[in-house]
Amino acid sequence: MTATSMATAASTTPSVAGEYLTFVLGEESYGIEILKVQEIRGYDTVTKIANTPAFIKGVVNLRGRIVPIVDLRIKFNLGKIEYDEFTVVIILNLGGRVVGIVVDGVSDVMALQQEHIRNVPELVSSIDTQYILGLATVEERMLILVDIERLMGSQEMELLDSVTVH
Amino acid sequence: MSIDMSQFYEVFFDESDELLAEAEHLLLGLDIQSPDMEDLNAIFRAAHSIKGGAATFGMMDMAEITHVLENLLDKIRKQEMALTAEHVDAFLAAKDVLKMQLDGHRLATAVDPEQVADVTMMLKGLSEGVAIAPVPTLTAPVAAPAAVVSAMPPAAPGLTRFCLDLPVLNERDDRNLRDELGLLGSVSQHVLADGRSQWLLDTDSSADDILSICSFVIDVDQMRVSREDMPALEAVAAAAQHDIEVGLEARADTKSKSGVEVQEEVGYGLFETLEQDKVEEGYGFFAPFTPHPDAVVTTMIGDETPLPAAVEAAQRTTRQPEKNTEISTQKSTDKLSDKPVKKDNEKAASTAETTSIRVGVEKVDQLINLVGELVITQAMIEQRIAALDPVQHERLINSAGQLMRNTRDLQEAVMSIRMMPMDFVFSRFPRMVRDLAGKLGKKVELVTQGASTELDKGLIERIVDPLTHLVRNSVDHGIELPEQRRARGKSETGQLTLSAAHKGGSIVIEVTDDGAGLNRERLLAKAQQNGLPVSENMSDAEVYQLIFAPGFSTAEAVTDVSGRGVGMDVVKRNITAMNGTVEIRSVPGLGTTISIALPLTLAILDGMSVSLGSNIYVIPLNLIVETLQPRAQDIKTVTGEGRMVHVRGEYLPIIALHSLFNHDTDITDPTQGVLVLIEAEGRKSALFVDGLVGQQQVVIKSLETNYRRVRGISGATIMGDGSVALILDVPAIIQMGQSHNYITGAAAYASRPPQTKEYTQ
Amino acid sequence: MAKTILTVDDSGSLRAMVAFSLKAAGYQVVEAVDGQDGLSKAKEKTVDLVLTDQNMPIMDGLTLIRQLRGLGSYQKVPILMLTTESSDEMKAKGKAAGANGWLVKPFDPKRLIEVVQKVIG
Repeated sequence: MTATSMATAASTTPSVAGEYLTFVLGEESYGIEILKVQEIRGYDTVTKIANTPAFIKGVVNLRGRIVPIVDLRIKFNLGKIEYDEFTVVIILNLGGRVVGIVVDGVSDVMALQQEHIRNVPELVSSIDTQYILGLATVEERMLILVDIERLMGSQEMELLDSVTVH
Repeated sequence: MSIDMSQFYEVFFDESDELLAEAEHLLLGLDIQSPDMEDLNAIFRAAHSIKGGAATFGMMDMAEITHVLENLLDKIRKQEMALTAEHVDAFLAAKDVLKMQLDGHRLATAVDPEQVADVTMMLKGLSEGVAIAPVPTLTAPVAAPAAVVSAMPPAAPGLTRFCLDLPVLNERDDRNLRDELGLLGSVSQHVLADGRSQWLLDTDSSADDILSICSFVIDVDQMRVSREDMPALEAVAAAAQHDIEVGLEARADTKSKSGVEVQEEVGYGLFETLEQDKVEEGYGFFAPFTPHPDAVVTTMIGDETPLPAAVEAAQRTTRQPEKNTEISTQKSTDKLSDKPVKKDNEKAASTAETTSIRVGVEKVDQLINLVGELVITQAMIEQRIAALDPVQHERLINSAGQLMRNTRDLQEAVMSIRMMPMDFVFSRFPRMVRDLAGKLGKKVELVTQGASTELDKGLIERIVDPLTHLVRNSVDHGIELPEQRRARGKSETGQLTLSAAHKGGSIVIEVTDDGAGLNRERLLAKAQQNGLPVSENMSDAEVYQLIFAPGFSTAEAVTDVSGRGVGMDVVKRNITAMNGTVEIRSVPGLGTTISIALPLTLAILDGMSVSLGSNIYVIPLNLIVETLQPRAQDIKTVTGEGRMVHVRGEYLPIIALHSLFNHDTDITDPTQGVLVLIEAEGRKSALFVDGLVGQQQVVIKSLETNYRRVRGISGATIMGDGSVALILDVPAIIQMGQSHNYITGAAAYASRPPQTKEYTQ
Repeated sequence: MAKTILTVDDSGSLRAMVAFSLKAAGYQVVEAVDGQDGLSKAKEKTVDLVLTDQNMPIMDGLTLIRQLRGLGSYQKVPILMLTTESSDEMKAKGKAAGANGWLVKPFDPKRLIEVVQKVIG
């Protein structure tokens, strides 16, 4: 995440227009910048890592890369925690670091204009407001735009060595 | 345009490092009585190259000392001075100073100005010292070139008589040379007693022109040209002397040229002024040469331009191309035939080096990673194919087999990119052993074997320190003083052997001395004194391993070199960190061998896969002492300290991996599972897992690339089925097991031995 | 079209410096690590200018110059010697071998470009 986009996210007129991949977590719809998405795949067996929080499912082999898988449903207490052939993993590429997130389902890719996007009121989502870029209304549904890079890099996700978290 | 020169420093540093190492290697190999010319030239060239680079990049301290060094080397190379042991010592000292200066520039380490001054003085002193000229007559012109030049008459109009001293010529060269020179003037020939020729040439051409012409037939370094009116110097074959005389002639010639001749030869007025300017600025153009800002080359030296003699000569020579070819072939054959075979190999090696390219290590590592993936993918295909009907899928199976072979070859080839010969490490020891033996008053002969054995670059760099320590130890404490050796009926000169060899998937590096050997009794006594748990029943190998215990030294006298055992724990730790093992073999009175086994590359690990519930973990094989299925009576529960296992007189704490990692498993009783005895940093533990899966080589992957560090895990690998297995960090596991016993939940297990009846000291 | 210069030097750092400076000045550069390498590179493609070091292993600069002058395609290509020896002796030898000029080491990139531009524009 660049300093500029960081600043705009915090300002009152965020410029977050662009293409978003939307997905469902429980009752809520979320959107993440399509440019941060590497691929979407099914849920494979993971290798459990000792002494980690429950939402870190473990690591998988993604064409030779060892990639951690995070179940956002567990992290945010949303949806039913089941793993079957319909379970979807979004593989993110965040500045070179590859992470997979488990969600309830992927809906669509949407191009959002600035006029679709509103500022974030308090307490609208299960995800802390500091990781929300804005809200968009699409077909009378509210879409929560997540700053996924910031969220995944946060200390609470426990994906980075604590020394590198800031 | 301004260019930041500092961007080239790193290349210069690397290059100088290599040149210094090379020079040292050659110096140590020099036969002082009859030094090899090629070697002297190579040493000279190293100094020369460093001087050039240092001066270019503004490292004047290095330029200064290489300049002095080069002068002295040049005199020896040209046989104006005979090589002595003193010279070699001075050169080695100069190498040390240069290395110090280099590190000073590179790593900002301290440079001792006194040492620099001392060595500079020493080199200067030697350079100005008594010049031992092989032929006395030759020193005269060398010493007083100016006088000779000033004695020369000004360029006379009309003809000049030149005296050409030529090497032994074959018939064809003789004829060609006569034809060529005939174009310049009239030639008369005299053959000297030893077959060489002395020709007289009356011509209006200059010495330069004569040399230009001759250069297309023979090597001009092998001849000399002098004017008849010069004091005749008796021709002596050494090429070095020819250099000087040719220089003298040329000097006289150029002098006159810078005035009148330049004007004559040049068709352009521009040239003269340029020439004058440029000489001052450090460059110049020879006549007739037109510097022209926009002109293309072809118009610059166009048809109207008078061709220089050299080009004319070249044109003539190209009409007989076979002549040149033959000469050069013949020369190189001569050169090779009188060199020992060793030289040929070295030459081949240096040729190989010069055709290499420099590539960033990251690129190579990326390549290695990609091939690693390919190997895994291929293994997955193989697994799936194995399930198919061999008759129905014969062709697919055949193709898969081909893919497997190609993949393996590719992997091997890619891995070899990172490989470097052990010589890279071994080559630093001759000097060290020489200095060390000198200091200690010992006689040591160093023998290296298998220096061409290759090892991963990363490992090569990391093996240097441990090996240095072992070599020091062997010289200091292994090999006895000459009188002791004589008293024991051995030759006064001890032998130290460094060897490297491939054994399976590992490289075995051994340091062997024919010294006193290790003393079992003394080791045991010392261990007891240090409070280490020892018993008389311990095998020799176990006793020898005691020297790797921290702070263990058996040296009777502490010398400034090393105490046997001091730092040996560090040696062992370094080698273990490389996934390697150390073994000691010793026979009292006959010597000691320290044998290091390392994996060929850091990217691959020999591992033991173990199961724990539905998980597979990999344990580095080099850290496994043994595996066992314990009997109930071997397991002891120590109050407050968890369970212990009794193995060969030792009580080892049991670390249950499932508890440590909070994994579910049905096997919670050690007698139902397997105990893997692991050892790191001198501490042993028994790791309790469900079962053994198998031994295999795995490609190490970092967990931190996309995730973070996990305590107890050193990395990950991808198994044949494509799943991920984690590699255990054995030292961390032992530590975790000691800080907390996961079976009983009891606090802090101390490393002291448990007080139980069965325990015997 | 950019002119091509062959730079022959056994010292990697100097070669890197020369190549970088020449490229920065808009020339194409072919690098060779000794006389023999230089000769084979020169044969692969006829260049517009040859800059050669003098003291090199395997084949020295003088020999390279002589060999190049023996090739039909190199009779008119300018050749400059880069040498640490500024003595007249070396210059005379270079000239005898067929060099068109010399440049004394050490030199800075500016000087190098200045000389090269004088020779081939």
